[in-house]
Amino acid sequence: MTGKIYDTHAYLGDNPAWAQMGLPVPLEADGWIELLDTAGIDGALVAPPGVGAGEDFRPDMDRIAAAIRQYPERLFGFCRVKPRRGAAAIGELRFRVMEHGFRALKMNTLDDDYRLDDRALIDPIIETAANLGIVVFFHTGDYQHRTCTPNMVADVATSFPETTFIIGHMGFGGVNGFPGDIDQLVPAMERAPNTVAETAGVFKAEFIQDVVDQVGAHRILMGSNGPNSPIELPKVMIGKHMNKLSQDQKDKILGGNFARIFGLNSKS
Amino acid sequence: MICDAHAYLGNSPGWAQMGLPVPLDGHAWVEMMDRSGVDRALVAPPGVGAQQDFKPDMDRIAQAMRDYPERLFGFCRVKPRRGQTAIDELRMRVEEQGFRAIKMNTLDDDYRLDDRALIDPVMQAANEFGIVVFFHTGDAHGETCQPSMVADIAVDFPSTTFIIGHCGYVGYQHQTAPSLKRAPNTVAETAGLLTPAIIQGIVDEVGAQRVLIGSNGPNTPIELPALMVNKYMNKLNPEEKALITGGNFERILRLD
Repeated sequence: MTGKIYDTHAYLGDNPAWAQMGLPVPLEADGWIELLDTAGIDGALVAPPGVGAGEDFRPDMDRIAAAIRQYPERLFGFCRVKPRRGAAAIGELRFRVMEHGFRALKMNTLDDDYRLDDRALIDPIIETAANLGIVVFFHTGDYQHRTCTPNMVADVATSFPETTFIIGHMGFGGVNGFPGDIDQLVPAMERAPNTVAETAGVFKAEFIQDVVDQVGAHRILMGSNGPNSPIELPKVMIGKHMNKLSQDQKDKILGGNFARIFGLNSKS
Repeated sequence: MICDAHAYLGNSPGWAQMGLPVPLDGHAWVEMMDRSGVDRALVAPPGVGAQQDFKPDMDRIAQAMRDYPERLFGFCRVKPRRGQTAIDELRMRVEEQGFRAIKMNTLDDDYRLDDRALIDPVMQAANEFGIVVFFHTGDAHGETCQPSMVADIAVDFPSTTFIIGHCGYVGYQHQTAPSLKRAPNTVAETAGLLTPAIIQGIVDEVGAQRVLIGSNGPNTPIELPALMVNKYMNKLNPEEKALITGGNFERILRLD
């Protein structure tokens, strides 16, 4: 591998389940850097863990803010908000981006029981993200897949052409037993050129290669869901075992696309 | 010794997408194992569904076992609705070619694991031949192949070892530990689960001697499960890791 390696989909904060892997809980910056070094990964975009309307993401966003202050070259922050909170959600997003340097917004429809096609609800948040110049990540597929399909992401993305949208989990389904809408993925990406797809949870290598064959390696980003799943696994799958890819394509998926989308090359 | 309890050998065109030769024979499999740090694997013919004819790939597996008897071990797949033909196929694979286990997926013949009139004759044959029985559990058709159904069968054949494939996968994981407790001749296999907390939860309840790694490889790289267990599941002690990544496999297939 010749380029830097970045994980686009990971978590930092207080998740008691991580003790089941012998990790410190809460897992903060130093624990995360040790994890990155163990895995041979240069950096990660981390979100507060937990899913659901009952979650308060703010304590873990404070931990993420501290982590990105401490390791600005290696840890990058996802902000999570609940769109039904309206102006409060928008205020939170602005604050995390402008005061704490968060780089992206992560949206999961379970977190506020909404649908990605409820445009009246989500467009004010997306517009704020677009104005702030950050990347927008949508969880897609899974048990709530009908609320968050790749087609819905493409619909939103075509309305905000200057913003990059990440289709989290590549539509997540059919490939690992989860329900989902993977058949929508390629058409959605073809329709909305400002979308990219992220691989967390997808360990069927031929499926990822099929998508690369159709949309190109420059539109796929490695993600791990780590540390729920070890952050090293997607790197080994892509870097060592997906050998229809050229080295240049591997470098893009493992980190080059992340560096481009988050503007890291111009700063290093 | 790192052993993979759930993998495939044969002709799956999708594997070309990883740059692998198709069909993938014993020589290419051993090369892949060496590259991945895996010592032994139990391999089945690939494909799922009632239209599949597993026999050409079972012939490839038979050849691979002749070429690498210490490294590759064969799963036989049969369609229980074929009745005596299925049992004769199983007998031939075990007695003449040395297959060690039978792999059952309810999608392959559109049946249910609680259709005991259909599957019990096959189970009786497996019991008679002294082989291990593996059931795919969970997934989109999980309703037909639940871990609790495996336990129901296992209690009726107490001298046979039954593998709960995928630990109930998606949808039925919650049944895995109770099923393992109810039927002591069952073990659980991890393919598709690259989420350590779920596996550690099962180990906490039933012990490390009841869990085996499997990869689903090469659909998923065969290197990943052992990497996950040995490097990242650090609530486990070294003995527990050794059991899950190989010791249990060797005990169950009587290789030690």
